[in-house]
This record gives sequence, C-alpha cells and structure tokens, in this order.
Amino acid sequence: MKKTSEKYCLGIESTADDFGVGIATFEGNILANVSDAYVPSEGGIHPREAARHHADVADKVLREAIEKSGVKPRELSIIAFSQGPGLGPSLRTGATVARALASYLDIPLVGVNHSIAHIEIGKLQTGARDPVTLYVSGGNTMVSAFDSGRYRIFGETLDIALGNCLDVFAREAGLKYLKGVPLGAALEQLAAKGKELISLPYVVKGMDLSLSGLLTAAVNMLHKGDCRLEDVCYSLQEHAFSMVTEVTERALAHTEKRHVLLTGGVAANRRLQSMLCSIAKEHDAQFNVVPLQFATDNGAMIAWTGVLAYSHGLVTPVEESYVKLRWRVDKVDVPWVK
Amino acid sequence: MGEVAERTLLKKGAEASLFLADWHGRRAMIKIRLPKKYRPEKLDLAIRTYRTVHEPQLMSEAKKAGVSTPTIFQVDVQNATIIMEFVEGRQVKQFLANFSS
Repeated sequence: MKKTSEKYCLGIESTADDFGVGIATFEGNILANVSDAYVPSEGGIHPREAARHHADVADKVLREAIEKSGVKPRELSIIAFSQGPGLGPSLRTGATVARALASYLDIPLVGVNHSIAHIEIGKLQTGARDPVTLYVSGGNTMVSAFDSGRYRIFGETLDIALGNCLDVFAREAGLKYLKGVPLGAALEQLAAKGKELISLPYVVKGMDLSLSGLLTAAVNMLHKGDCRLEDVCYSLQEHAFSMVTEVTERALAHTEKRHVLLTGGVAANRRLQSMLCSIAKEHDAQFNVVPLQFATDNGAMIAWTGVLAYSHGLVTPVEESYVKLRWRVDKVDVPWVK
Repeated sequence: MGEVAERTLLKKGAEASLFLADWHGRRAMIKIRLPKKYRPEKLDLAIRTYRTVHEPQLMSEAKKAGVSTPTIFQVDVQNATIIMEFVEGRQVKQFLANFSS
C-alpha cells in the first residue's frame, strides 16, 4: 500500500496480445499489476483485432489498476509505456493511452524498451545481480547480458521465437486454449508423457539458433501419424530447449557472470527451468526464474523500468514518442546499470 | 587415451573442457566434449559425435585455405575428444579488452 511521501509511476504494456497496467513506487514496490489478454477465436494473434481489444479494455484495466494501488491519478509522477519492440497496432494503442494520460495529468512520459523491462522486473523480483538472461516468449528469443553501458545480445533466434514455435505446433496438434491454461502448458503436459526421442533438426549457428525448420519437421512428423503425439511434443521440447540452453551456457561461460535469469512466457515451463538450472550449477552460477505474473507481458515491468529511466534523466517528449517496432535491446543505453 | 600421463584443466567452456597435456613429448591441447546432463542422452551423443568429427575437418579445410590452425594429432570420436597442437597466445577476448582500455 502507498505511503504519502512516495512517488509513483504508471506503466502501460501493449506490445502484443496483453494490455497491462502496472503501478510502481520509485522504491520498487509494485502496487498494482493488472492485465487483460486478447484471446483469438482461432489461430494466432491478429494485430488489428489485438489493437481493437486493447482499445476496448484500456479504461477498465486502467481503473482497476488505479483502484488496486490506492494511488490517485493526480499523485502519479510519470507515465511509462512500452515503445517497442512489438506489433504496430498494439503498440500504437498503448502509446495513445500513455500520451493522453501524460498530457492530461501534465507529467513526463517515458518510453520503455519492452525486452529491457523484462530483464529489469526479473532482477527486481528475483534479486538476480548482473545476470545472463534468457528471454523466451511468443515474440522474442534472446540471450543477453550487460556490458559497457548496454544489454548486449549474445545470441538470438534467426527466425521465429520459441513461444511461437511451440504455439503453432500446439495449434497444429489441435490443442485448444482453455481459460487459465495457455497452449504451451497443454503442450508441456503432453510432452511429460513422451518416452521416445524422435530425431529432429537441431540448429545452433554460433551463438544464434533457428527454430523454423524444427517446427516444420515436427508438424510433418505429426501429420504423418507414425508417432505418438506425446513423443512428438516431447521431442520438439527437448530439441528446442536444448538449443536455447546451449546458447545460454555459451554466454555464461564467456561472460563468467554469477547469475542466470529465465524470463518470458516460456519461463513457466518446468522442463526448460530444469535445463537452465543444470547449466547454472555447472558454472557455479545462481539460477533465477521470474514468477509468472512478472515473466509474461505485464504493466509492472514497464512502470519499474520507467522509474529507472526517469531517475537517470530519461524522458520521452510526446513528439518523439512514436513506436519502434524493431527496437533492439542493444540500441538502448541503460545508465542505471553499473 | 593411455598416452596422456597428466593433464591440467585450462578452461571449462560451454561446450567442451580444454586440458593442457604432454602428448608424446609435445605440449598438446586435449579438447573433450563432456556429456551434458540437461539434454537427452541420445541427442547429447549425436551432437557431441557430429561436432567431434566435423571440427577437425573444418580446421583442416581452413589450413588448406591458408589459415594457420593447430595441427590435429588425434581424434577419438567415441569419447568426443580431439588432441591438437597447443598454440601459445592470448584469447581474442583478452586482446580486445586490452585494446579498448
């Protein structure tokens, strides 16, 4: 709950299918973290429909977050928003809400890099210090670590994201999204019953990896119908997770950092957690996994990163607040990290 | 690997461990791709075997193209081990670190 002397930041997240609002104090307490997800009736995220959803729920999510935090709008010091990377229509909807709020309340606006926000909230929630981070979600797959003023990308996917790979496969396998049970979790349950490892493409190129060929091979295997679905799920997970784990281990061996941080929606997968934990141990590093509500897209991470940026003199004038669809983490100076 | 009497761990990398050893009177590097417990045995063996076979081939190709690469002394595919010439020097990482400061 709020204290009277504290300063607050409201953060808006809207890079993809979630519209989230979080409220953080400047000391790093999260007072509210509310979000509403767009659930497509079939297939993946339709950018226009996701944006429409965000516009529809924005006032409801904002009100709920504000009520939950106990902070009055006039008590807010800054408005932060995810400026990229992400889907254009979704980003623009969140940015519009953020600009309107900042202008109306006449307080500074702070554009935040979504991927950096994932790392910062992960550090805040787990206590990880200067970690090698594996960020795996529906739209991102990257291994990063801080060096010389910025988060550097040590490895990343060359094509599709890990979460995307698993989701598309799950849909091909006829798995349905149930309220509270994401497709990835349904896939994980089936994979846990797999016994036979089917050989699939394993593509690590230097520090980067590729998942599209693996997805195609797994889908083909599924449609051929020679193997148990459980075995294909298991084999897909084992290959894909081994790839991201190998790249993370390389970054860890190279940087010799003492912490590993796992975040993003796929961080919820127990099998992936156990693999990452194994390599952390192997290199005498501490393994940290971000709690689910802060690992998936959320407003709190934007609010907290907004605080960090603003505290180091960074603000985003409205005329420079256009969204950046392909904004890489290594393009952003992070003066708050030493 | 009976010929190697003693070996010192130089660096534990992500993919392999590097040992410095005496190999028939020469200073040699022993590169061993140790099993990774996090991945299934079948996949682990396939990756380590494939890379142990291909690394010396690529180094040899590089040498043919005029790149100075260490001479390969021995390859033990079953144990995912490569014994090669030891080359004195600094890592690129160390070189760059000194370069920038």
